[in-house]
Amino acid sequence: MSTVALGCFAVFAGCGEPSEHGTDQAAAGDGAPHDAADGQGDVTGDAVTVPVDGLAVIELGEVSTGGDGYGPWVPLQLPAGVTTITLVLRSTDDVTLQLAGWDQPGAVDIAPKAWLQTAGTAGVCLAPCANRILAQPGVAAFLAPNTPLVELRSGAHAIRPYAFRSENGNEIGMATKVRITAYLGWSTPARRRLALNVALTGAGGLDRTTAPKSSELQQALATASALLGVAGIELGPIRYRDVDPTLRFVTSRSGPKSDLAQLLASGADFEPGLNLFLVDQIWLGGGGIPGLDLMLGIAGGIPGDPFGHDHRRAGVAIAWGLGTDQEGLLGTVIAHELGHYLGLFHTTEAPGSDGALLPDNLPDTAAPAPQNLMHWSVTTTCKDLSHEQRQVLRRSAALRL
Amino acid sequence: MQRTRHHRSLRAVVVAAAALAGLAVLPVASLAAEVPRALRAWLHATDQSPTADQIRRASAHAQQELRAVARDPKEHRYARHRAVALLSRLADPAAEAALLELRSEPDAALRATVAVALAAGPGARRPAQVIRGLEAWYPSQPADVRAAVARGLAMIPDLAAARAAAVRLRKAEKDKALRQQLDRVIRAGSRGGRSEAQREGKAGRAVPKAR
Repeated sequence: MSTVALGCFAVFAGCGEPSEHGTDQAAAGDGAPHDAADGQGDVTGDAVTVPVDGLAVIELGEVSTGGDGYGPWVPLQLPAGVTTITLVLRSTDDVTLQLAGWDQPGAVDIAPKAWLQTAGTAGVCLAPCANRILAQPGVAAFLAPNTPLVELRSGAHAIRPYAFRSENGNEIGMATKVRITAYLGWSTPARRRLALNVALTGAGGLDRTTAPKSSELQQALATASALLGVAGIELGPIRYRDVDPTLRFVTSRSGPKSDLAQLLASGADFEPGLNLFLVDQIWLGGGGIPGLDLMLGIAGGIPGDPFGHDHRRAGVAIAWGLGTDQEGLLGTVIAHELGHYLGLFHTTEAPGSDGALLPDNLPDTAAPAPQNLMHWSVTTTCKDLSHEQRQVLRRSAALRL
Repeated sequence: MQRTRHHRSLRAVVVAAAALAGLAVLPVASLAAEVPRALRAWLHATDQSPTADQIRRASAHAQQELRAVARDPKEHRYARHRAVALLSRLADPAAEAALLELRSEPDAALRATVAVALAAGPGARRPAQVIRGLEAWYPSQPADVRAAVARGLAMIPDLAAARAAAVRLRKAEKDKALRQQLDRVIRAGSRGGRSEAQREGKAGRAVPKAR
């Protein structure tokens, strides 16, 4: 696999062309459907491809969005054989990031270029996007394909970032700088590993010395590992780290100083892997609903940033204390939230959801499946993962060989 | 008389045996409060929040059923705590009364959740009254519940009133960690701005500018 990645490094280095501003863009290709002059900026950084464990990491540089929130079209040349891409957009914490479009040659676009013009919100792309995309603040990741209804084609792709903020119920485009990274994968091997950093706030009396011996925690991790194991994902290595005990109670998630932001950012210096934070309680609001609600788990993104730890959306949090009286529950919830972080949406959303939520678009989860791991209401009987869900999971750039 | 007593004893044994037999075969869930499936689904949901309307659509008797789940020690812990949280979202006097009643639950962890729920729900609608209630309740509670009251105060939109309450509570508070937590409320109240609940509950949807 590393040979493939190294080979692609050579391909990218060789196909670079100077942009109109004279900046080398190793990822830019001939015949991209849009050029940088279409937007308010240009790719300013040098594209760098680094082979990492079966992946190529391409830094597409930094672009500027205009006052209307739209950035330029950023070209990305996809070599043959690439089976999956995760795009990660980063900006400041006060900005929510979305893709205004993602063109690809000769196939259904991953995000149709005009979808924002007809959508009721920039938050989620439902009907126009067969490949689900979800806006996220500060750091937003997008996985393609996340449905068999979209075929990933090699050749000239182009992506266009969109930045906005919510104010008094309105979404307002913002001028900002957006850094873009692409992770390309060439295959989805049958078995891959997901390294976990279990971050301990003291919830449940657990710390880095007691956690490895806690039968409850080990059982929960074994349950999660078994549930994701059907997709060929093995949890490990598992490391234990202590974090600030004042972060045991999460009661806010909006803004960089919120409890959740501070919690998830507290794993900035952890080893590579997905950060799993154990806390006492999670009280969160959102979705336009006044007040707060008690939750058992939350993921930093759907999908989450597969590599970066140094931001407020890195990882998942689980309310440890509320689930220890049900055998298998916490393990199931851990697997469910890891599933989100790796790229799975709920199979269906709750009755009466008004479209602000985003169910998956997989043909084999279309029928009601209350036993599915990614059902919106998770119980200990939710163990199933469909064939297509397993494919999505295996495409995550967070997995290692 | 002797025969009657014997008959009663026998009947008691039979009833007890039947009950035990029943216990052996019935799943735990069937011992818990009777709740329609749709409402039960919301009680299980781990990362989804319902609106008050969704809760009411899940059951016409949601308030009574949530109260029953919260009070039922046979229910699983998450369901009980989540029922408390959902009561706070209903925004009606009966749900509020149920929350106030739950302050006397023997389970301190549940009372801690009640404190936060009172602040997050009714506290957003009638801050002065809820603050007075929490403040009066505070001294009688163990440290974990007092800590929850402090967390709750930070959620109440009337930051000045929450700050004033925190100042008063801090004077009598001996626990250093709790004083620090109350300090957080005091600092937030001094800065002004919006409470955590206001920030979390903000929102809305709008059409983005198109181009």
